[in-house]
Amino acid sequence: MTAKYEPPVISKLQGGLMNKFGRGPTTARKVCREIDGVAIEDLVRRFGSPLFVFSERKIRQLYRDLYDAVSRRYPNVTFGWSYKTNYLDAVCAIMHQEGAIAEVVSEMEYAKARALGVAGERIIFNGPYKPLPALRRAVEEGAMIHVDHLDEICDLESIAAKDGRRLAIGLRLNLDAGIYPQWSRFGFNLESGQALDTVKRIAGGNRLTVNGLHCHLGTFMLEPAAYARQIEKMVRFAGELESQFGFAIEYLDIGGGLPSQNHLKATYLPADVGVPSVDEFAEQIGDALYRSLRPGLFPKLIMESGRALIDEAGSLITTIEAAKRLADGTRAYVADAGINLLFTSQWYKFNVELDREVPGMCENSVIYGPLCMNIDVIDEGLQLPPLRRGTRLVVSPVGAYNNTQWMQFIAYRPAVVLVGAEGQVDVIREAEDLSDIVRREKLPERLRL
Amino acid sequence: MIERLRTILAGGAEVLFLQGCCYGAILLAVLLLNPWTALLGVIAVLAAYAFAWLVGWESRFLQAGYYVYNPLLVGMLLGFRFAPSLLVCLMAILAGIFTLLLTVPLAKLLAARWRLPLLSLPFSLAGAAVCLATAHLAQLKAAPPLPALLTSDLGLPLWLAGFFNAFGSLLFAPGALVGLLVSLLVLRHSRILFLLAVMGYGVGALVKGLTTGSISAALADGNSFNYVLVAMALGSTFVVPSLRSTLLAAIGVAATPFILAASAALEQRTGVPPMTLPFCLIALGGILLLRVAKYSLLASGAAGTPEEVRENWLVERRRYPGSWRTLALPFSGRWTVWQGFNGRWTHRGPWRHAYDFVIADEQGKTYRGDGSRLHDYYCYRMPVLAPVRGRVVKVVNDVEENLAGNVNGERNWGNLVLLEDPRGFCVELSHFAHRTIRVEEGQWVERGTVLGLCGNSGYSAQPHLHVQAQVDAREGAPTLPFSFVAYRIGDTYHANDLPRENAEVEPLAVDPQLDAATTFLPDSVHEFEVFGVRQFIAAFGHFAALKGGQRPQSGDKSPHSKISFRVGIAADGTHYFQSERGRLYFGKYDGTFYCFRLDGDDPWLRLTMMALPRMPLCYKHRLAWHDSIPLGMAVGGVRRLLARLGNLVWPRLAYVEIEQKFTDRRVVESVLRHPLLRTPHAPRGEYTTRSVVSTARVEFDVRGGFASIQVGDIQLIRTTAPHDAAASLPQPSPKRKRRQLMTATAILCLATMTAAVGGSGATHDIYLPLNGRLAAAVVGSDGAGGESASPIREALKQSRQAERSGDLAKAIDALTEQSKSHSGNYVLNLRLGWLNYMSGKQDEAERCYKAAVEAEAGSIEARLGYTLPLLAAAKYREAEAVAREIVTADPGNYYGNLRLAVALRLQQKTTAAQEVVQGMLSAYPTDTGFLAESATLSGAQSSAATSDVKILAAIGESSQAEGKGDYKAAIGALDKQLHAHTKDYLLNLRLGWLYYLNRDYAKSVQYYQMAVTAAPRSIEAKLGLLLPLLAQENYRQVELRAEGLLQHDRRNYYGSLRLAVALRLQKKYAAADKIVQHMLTAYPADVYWLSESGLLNLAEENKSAAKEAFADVLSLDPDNAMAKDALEKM
Repeated sequence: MTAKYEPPVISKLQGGLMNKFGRGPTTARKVCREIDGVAIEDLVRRFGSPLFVFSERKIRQLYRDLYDAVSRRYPNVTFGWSYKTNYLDAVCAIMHQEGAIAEVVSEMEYAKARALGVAGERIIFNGPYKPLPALRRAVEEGAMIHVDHLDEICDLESIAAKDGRRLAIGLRLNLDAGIYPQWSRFGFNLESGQALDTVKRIAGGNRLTVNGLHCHLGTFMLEPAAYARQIEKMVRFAGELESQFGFAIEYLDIGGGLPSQNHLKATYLPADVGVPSVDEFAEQIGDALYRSLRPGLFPKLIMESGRALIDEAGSLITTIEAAKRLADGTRAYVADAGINLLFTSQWYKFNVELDREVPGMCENSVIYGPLCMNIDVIDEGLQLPPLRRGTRLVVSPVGAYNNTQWMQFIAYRPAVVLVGAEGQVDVIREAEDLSDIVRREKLPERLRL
Repeated sequence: MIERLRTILAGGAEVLFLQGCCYGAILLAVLLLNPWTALLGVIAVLAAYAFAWLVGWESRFLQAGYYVYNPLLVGMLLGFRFAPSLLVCLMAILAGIFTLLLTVPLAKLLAARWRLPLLSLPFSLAGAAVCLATAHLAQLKAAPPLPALLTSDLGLPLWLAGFFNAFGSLLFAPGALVGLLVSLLVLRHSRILFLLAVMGYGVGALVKGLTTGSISAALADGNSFNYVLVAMALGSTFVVPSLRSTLLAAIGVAATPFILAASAALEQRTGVPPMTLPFCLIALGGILLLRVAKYSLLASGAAGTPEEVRENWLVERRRYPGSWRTLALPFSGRWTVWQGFNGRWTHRGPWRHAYDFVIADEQGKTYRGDGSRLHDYYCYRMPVLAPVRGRVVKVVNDVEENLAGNVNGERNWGNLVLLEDPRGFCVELSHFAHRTIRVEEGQWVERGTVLGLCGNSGYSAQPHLHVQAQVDAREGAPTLPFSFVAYRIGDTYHANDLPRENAEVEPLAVDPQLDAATTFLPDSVHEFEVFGVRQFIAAFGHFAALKGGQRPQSGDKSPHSKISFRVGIAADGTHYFQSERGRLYFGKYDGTFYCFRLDGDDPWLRLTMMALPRMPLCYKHRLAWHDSIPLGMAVGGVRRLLARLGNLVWPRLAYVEIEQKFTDRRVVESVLRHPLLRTPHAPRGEYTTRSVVSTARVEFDVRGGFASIQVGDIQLIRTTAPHDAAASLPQPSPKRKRRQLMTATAILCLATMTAAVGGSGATHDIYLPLNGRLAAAVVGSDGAGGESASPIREALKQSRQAERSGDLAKAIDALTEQSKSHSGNYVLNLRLGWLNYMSGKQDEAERCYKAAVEAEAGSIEARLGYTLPLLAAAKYREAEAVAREIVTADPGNYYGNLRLAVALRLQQKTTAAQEVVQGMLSAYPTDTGFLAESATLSGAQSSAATSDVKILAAIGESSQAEGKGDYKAAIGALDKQLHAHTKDYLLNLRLGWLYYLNRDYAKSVQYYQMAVTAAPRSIEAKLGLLLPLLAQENYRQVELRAEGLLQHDRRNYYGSLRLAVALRLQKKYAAADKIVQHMLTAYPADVYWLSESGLLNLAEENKSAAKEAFADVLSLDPDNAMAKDALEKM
């Protein structure tokens, strides 16, 4: 193939753009023509732009890679799919097909999991606020409930007393695993003795038994050794509960927090260099468990990963609708998707790819979203060649937290499609229209126009 | 004393390889045809017993049959040779004691040393001694000739008389009569044994005939019983019967004439007859030879008839493919078998019992990238776990690792850990990564301890893990067979087995909850109530009536409603459930719960074993496994007999295969299959390949132990928590109870298993009430079939039309004639019951309904009708009883509960009535029937589900609008209230309904869902929700929702109906059919279910059945447009 003709340009010499990874900033551009064999243009033609696209193959691969990495280092592992990360039914169904149980943090998520057909006993009910009716339903349906505070313990005791039986619950801990910031707002603190006091209180109440421990260190963890420290503390605490109160701890839930291959804005290194691999995490987790547990004893290890299982499986296709120059000469583009759809653009520098080869020198560019708001910026400081109107950008990874935190603000939310293993494309959430926006609204008769 | 007598009688029977004192007693009775000989035999046995008692060998004497039958034969020999006299009696006493004295050391020699059976060797030796000793005693007179009856050949052809003669000669009664009787005994005991006897006689006589040149002389030979005995011993008794062992037996028989000829020569010189000596020599020699050759089919002293031995052998080989050297998989997660036993590359010769494991990806590659670096390999530096508990006896940790593709030929085993298992073997794991081994020599490790990391040291071209069991702790010692426990391949669990090469295996860890659920404390008592037997009693009664017996009254209480198991511990440490009639042995080994075997014939323990032959103690969602139980445990009668003969050629007949899976952490569901036991109503579709015998379900209680056990339609439900046995030891059973139990056993065999092979019409009929009949059977159920069906249909049609026009008398008349000739017809009686009730003839209505209930024992429909005349005639107690029957079969039945409540209230049992009403109100919170009932009971105005006056007013308003057909206005009336009460159950329910009527299905779904959330226990709202979903053609959702609903109310009429429709429209015909069949048992003449059955048959292109169904519909509802339409289209 002959090289494309590029018209000669004269551009100002700029310092400071060299980098040690050796890519020429003025010529490097990333191109993504297809997702799992389905052309970007094809997708947009069929389902419109902007468009969220998930790859079923990638979701399953991410799940299996992490599951195999951990299960080959510890024999009793269960994943709890973190609903808040992405609770589109299709995504959850794939996770459940792969063997995950559900991890929910609200009444709504609980109802969603049940409506999807997940049995109560296959749901972990976390979260700081569990309304009494929700709690009662969870108890009736046999869900695993992780208590966050004393008032919840009182609620559970009253339910248990009413039913005349003892309930098994999981206890949520927070602890110092040597990372900053230490999450202390959820559960009971271990080091201060609060957790032990709570267990004394539970034992005294004689209505509940503790059969599991839960602790979630934080999010986007880049330090595998933190999990090892967490596990050691949890196992030690489990031992105390067994010896002092006779509570048999059947499972240890180490929460989630594993990072995806996304680029945090605050970090310098790109993700493939800066983010530890799943094997490094699994090795620390497995080693810590073998080190601290009694030989031959394998309580169930539960992991509640969300981001690491879905982020890289999701992309957003967006279209350049306009190009302009800012007052300082910076090239700017208006895209049809912005912060309304990409909540995580607050903290991630996404991988932005073009759907075609575009000739021309790259220059520093800003991409704005469609909102009439100053904050609506997908990225500033991207090196892009001159783009025509109608060029598609593929933004990734966007699988985690966007489809649950996207805003119904100013614009409709677009369709979400899933590319299946055989290249079939299914709509898993239809694009919104006006009826979705006004469905719950009531116009008092006297105001009718 | 009686026990001893039984033992002795049983011992006597063993001479013919028969088992059981009954055979001994009959044998003795047969022998009494020749009383003198029999008397001497008995004297000799008693003398031997008395002597044994005197010297303290009594228990030993009673232990084995040969202490009995050897003296018996010696005594009879004396009686056979000499005429009656006191001296001969004295000699019989001495001979008996002498035989015993000979038996004891021989037993020690043969049995203890070579594990050989003694057979009648002592008799042969003692008999010879007696013959020699008495040869010259002049006082003894030779016996007079036997009576003609005994020696006659009964006019039978020579070969047949010769065959019987062989049996008779063995018992010193040469002749056809005794032989005939004895051979019948053998035939009764075991067909295989009998066939072998025939084969033995034939082959022996043939060989002798060929060698001596005279077949007829050979056939009449008095010593041919030796052939028979050799064939029986080598063909079945001491080996597992099979075609191979039959061939071996034939070879043994063929050798016998030569020994016989030799001993005949000896007889000429010494006067000592051959007796059973040739048999003993050939049989003992043969068994010894087979043992030396390690013949795999040697029976290990298992009890039972040859048929049972073969069946058990076939089943056990299938059930327990593993070995006693059980290893856990030495890793965690999914690994792949690279090389197994007798592998392609290195697992050869003395090292053939070894396994290699690697990790492979979905493409089968064991590495990522190009595989040039060790770190590219998936399994490299993965933890290796101890497969057994034991002591570390050797560690090698210093072998450098090879580059990928290279091997170290000098230090083959590489870095290794050798463990010594206390069970008496060693386990070696090889090829660890350099200096990663974390255990030390002398250290004790538990199963699952991390030993080190997988690597590429030694004779290893790519990182892999090698494991083997071996004889001792030397590096490279010869290997031993072993097997792996508790792992899964895909979703299938393997308890103890050898995975194949390239299989992807994953070890599973024991789940503490399952472990606790299957922990049965010794002496705890588990009590159950039996449900579903009554139908079978009724069915069985029907069967008995056909055979001219008495039919039990349908009002009888269920025969054995409460049962209990007590947990005990056997001497070998296994546990067992003990009931009045049997023991079920169970235990937990290596992560699996097993039911091992059943002693006795307790039907409920049998049920337990059928429902749960084994269960993994490891829980994975949807984990499945299979197991088998002997066919004899599942069926009896002729079919068992035939299948047991058939399994000689087709071993698959020997067992019922059980496919099981977890549907929940506490629920195991099974399907039982057998190729021959096809039921005409077994679920179709997914099960077409192999026939389903039955289905089973076990539910565990949260507190541990079984909550319920169900096989087919029979269900055991635990009544109380298990308690200590000391409080209530099971009482010795009175005779009556035992008879009932036996009936129940027979019923179980008949009913749960197969429900008729579909053969004769009579057997077919028995199962009418069981399986829920299709339409045709309902109308023509007294066997008359198609011819009589149409007049009945015609009559029904006319009657229905008359009823429509309001002429009840005419409607009754239309049916009367048919009902005379078909007094047991269900539909006729049902209709007559209704018509009589409507015209006020309560007595007549009662009679008809009762007849209908009797005709279809499982019918809820008829019972619902039955309550009407009873209530009308103020027979409240009877009405209560009938309503209770309905509620037992279907706890959530709407009308059943309503009538129960009414009957209770009218008997002033207010509290009980309140309970029923309250229970139902939680399911139907807005139901006017129960609300009214509740109001009457409490004497106060009942407040519906909502107490808000405004809401009630709005609902009143909307109902009016609804009545006028103005749904929009009806909705509008409620909408106003909805703002303030978004979660109000009643509002949402009504809105759901109104939107449904208004054809806005999406909204309807939404509101019904809100109603379900507001009252999670409400059945009403869940039923409503199905309507818009059906209208939206969202059948999958309907299926899911309806299934959820049926979990709480398993026979809900509308729920089932809507589920069946949804299933049919999704083309899941098998599942739909199952529901329709099930509901037709309860509502055999229900127009909706009959229509559904017709539609289903139509969909499956089963046109004739569909036609029948629609014809039935039309006879019950002549104006049914859908049925007419369907019939026309066909």
